[in-house]
Amino acid sequence: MDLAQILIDLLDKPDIPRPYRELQKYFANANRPEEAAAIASLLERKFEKKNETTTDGSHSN
Amino acid sequence: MKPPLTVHILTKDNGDTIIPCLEGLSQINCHLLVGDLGSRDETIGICGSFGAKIERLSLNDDFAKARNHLLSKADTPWHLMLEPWENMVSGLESLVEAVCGPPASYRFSIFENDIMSKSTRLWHRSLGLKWENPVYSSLPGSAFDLPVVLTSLPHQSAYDIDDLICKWQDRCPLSSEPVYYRSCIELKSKNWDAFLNYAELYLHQEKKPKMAYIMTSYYMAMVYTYIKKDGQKAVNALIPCLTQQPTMAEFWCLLGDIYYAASDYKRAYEFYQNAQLLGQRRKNNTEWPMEISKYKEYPEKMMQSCLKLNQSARAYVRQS
Repeated sequence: MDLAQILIDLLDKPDIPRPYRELQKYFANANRPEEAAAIASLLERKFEKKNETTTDGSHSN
Repeated sequence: MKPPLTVHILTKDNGDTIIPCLEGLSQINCHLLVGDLGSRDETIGICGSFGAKIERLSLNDDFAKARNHLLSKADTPWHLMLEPWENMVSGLESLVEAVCGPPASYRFSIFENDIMSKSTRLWHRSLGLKWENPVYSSLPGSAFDLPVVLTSLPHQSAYDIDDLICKWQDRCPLSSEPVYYRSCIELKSKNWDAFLNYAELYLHQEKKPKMAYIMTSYYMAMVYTYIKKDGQKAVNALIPCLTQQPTMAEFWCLLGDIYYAASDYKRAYEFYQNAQLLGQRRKNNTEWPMEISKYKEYPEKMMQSCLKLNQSARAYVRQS
């Protein structure tokens, strides 16, 4: 997937992991390991957190 | 013992700020070398009272040339450059250690209001560094970080910077650099349309996504967001910033602001959260400027606001 499409997806659905995974892959393929690691860390923290609290403040589980 | 270090300061009518600048240096064993560009206030007298050697210089529309001329007058192994409105507030011990160590060049952190930037200020003569850029002088090449902190006091330039940039542009009509600085001047003067025109021209000429390119895109995105209220153009301008520097919280916060302004609090929340999470991974040993509040305080406040507004909107929908 090209970068423009990844970003369109990310802007459209910033609350699901898929576009971030694509972005992580993009940076890894572009030989930018620091950015890839930063996105990996975001994925872990953002979507672990998601299980605890949703955007509207309610608890999802 | 002969001082190993010369501190270089270019002055012109800096009587309001020069005293704290010189006082900050009083504990260092150094030569003070002041290049005065025609002060008519008490600047020269103050510098003299701190033991500075004064060189009278002409600017001739080129700060880099004036600084290099001053540099040629110093014979110590180490050199340090300060602006007459900068005050060294910490890191003195590191500075003393560095000038006892092997030849190298070092960057200092400079705080002006909420913005922190880094700039090479200390270097060894053997590196042969010369000042570049006739208006906003800088030293080329990479440098190590030294934990020396400078604060910048409010000051007014004694020069018509816009005029200097115009003359630079006349001398180098094909260079993108003066166009970039013209855009910065227009931005600072809040001439939004002129800024956008120069910024577009600069991006067209420059093409390479270096720091000035990315920061210009960011400032364009800010103008489109807060002044022109054009979210689509703002997002388009912000995209190269996010792809080049995804760990800069400033960019994610602005994306959050764009969606917040469009009352899309759910997405805005996600982008503010990205600012926090990715901002934590930013390396602070780079020259990229940093708006400190955008890394914690601002996104936190905005996430709270998004949650509140989202809940209010849901309650309103349920009622109606």
